[in-house]
Amino acid sequence: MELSIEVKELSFFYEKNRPVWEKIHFKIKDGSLVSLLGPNGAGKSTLFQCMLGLQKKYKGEVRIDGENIRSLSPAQMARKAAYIPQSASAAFNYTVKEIVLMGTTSLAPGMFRTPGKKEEKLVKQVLEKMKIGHLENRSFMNLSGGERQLVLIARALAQQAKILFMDEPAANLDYGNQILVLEEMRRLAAEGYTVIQSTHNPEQAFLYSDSVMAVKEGKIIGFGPPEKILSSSLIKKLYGVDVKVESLCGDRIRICVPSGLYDGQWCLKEKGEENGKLGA
Amino acid sequence: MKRNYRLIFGSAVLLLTAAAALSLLMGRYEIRGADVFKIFLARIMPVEKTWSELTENMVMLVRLPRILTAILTGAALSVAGASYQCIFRNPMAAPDILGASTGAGFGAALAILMGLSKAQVTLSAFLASLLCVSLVILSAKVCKGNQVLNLVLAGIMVSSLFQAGTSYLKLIADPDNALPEITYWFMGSLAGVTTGDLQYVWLPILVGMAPVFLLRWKMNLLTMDENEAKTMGVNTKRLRILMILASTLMTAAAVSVSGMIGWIGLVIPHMARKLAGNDCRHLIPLSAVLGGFFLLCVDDLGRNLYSTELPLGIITSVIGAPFFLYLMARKGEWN
Repeated sequence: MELSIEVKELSFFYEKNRPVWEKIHFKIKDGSLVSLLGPNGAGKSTLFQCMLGLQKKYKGEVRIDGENIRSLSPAQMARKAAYIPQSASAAFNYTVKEIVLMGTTSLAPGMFRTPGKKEEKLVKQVLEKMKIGHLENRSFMNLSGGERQLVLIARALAQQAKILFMDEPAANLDYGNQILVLEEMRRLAAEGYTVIQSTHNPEQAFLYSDSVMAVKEGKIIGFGPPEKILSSSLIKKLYGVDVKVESLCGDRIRICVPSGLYDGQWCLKEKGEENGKLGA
Repeated sequence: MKRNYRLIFGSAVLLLTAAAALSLLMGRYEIRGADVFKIFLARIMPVEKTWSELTENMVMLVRLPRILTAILTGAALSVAGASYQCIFRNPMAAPDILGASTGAGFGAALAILMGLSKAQVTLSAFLASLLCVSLVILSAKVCKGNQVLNLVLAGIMVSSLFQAGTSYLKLIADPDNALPEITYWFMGSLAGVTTGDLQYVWLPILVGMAPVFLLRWKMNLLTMDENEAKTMGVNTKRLRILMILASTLMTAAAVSVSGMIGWIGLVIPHMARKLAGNDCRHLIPLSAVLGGFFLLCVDDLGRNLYSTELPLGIITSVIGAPFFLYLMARKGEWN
């Protein structure tokens, strides 16, 4: 089992004495689907930026394939890890094909290199793989939120990096598209991509991860398989709310239910006489 | 969205060539097409001389330099406009966004006030233009935060200072000689352009265009979010500054010889976007050809419409503004 991503003693400060991250270290298994779970403002995006080489003002080391990423050029870094944003903010309306083609920019060396036949073919393959070949000539801005997200994933795949960072993949999507995108991420992890996604939703961490890294106030307060570490006490620590963790399908799936629903005694009652309370 | 780019680009090149050929024949001094053809032919092989010395001078020393300057200037302003729009992720950006033409205006006004020669006015405009943009870049550098926004804001501030300088120069200028000349310069014109002017501008324009053409694919990524572009392997900081320098160089050279010509850098890139899409691989070459074609036509109008020359700035605004409104109304969206 390879551990290509290694973070050592990473600390990050925006202001003195108020660490966003304080001496954290961890390793990530290749080909795993990792959820970075924490409340808003926990520094999830900052950690992503450090690990992607976008933010350099951290102490400590981030190593990918044994190389310290500080010494990598943007093009070298792009070959190792791709970033899938929540939503693309394009100032101009490009076609889907053009957007995905941009992902191939770092593939050919040389400053003046422009994508050619080889890259165009790669784009076609990636679009087929994501089952969005029919969108090829559509305008990116005219797509639905879910379709856009799939295009951005395709762009990351065209980059041909083995590690995918995904910032709150489901944040701006409706329920159906959330499932669509998250299932896709799971499929990619099964194919061997290392997928690291940030989320503030414990349900999503339960359902769509091989391991969960729970973070709060600059520290990692739990890192492991979701069924082992995601307890009601951990969720209480993270979000300050009481939940009960329930299991389904012979404990192959877990979900959490706010305790308020239990306190309303709805679950405990055999008969439906108190149903009205829940509905209120 | 993207129609057949090759067809569009090919037609644009044909249009430009045809317009250039026709422009040689246009003007108050009548020249026959056959003579023009023979004059050019005579450069490469011996031809029996059937034309007068005056005709040859008119073609080679007056009309040809002016036509080439119009094409180069128009192309430079359009390419610079398209490139600034990408650099600043802003569809409304134009070549003056960092004060290149405001600076040039100040330099020209100063030189005219000092009674310098026409070549010196051009040089002074060119240098002041570069100075103005350098000040903008330096001021943006010392400020913290979003560099792109800083550049735009610094551009507004520094331009305003140069504007004030120009206003002061106008105030103290001799109202009989210098003031009209300054005012006329600000309206933009290619009247009296000589081979000397052409020799002076072609190099900076081509030097500026080269990196924009060579790096135009990567310029697409500058229009994306900064972090996205970086993670796709582009050194955005370096690329952006290089593109700014290149675009500024061509704008400075163009306005220093033509004076203030508005609208081209905004309207032509948008026209090219509508025709060929936003991909810079197509956008930049098409903008160059259409820009050259447009300014050549405008200049032809300027020198043939009336017995006196009509300033270009007036014509480009009269054509440009309604055309821009038309584009806006037709598509109803900028994104």
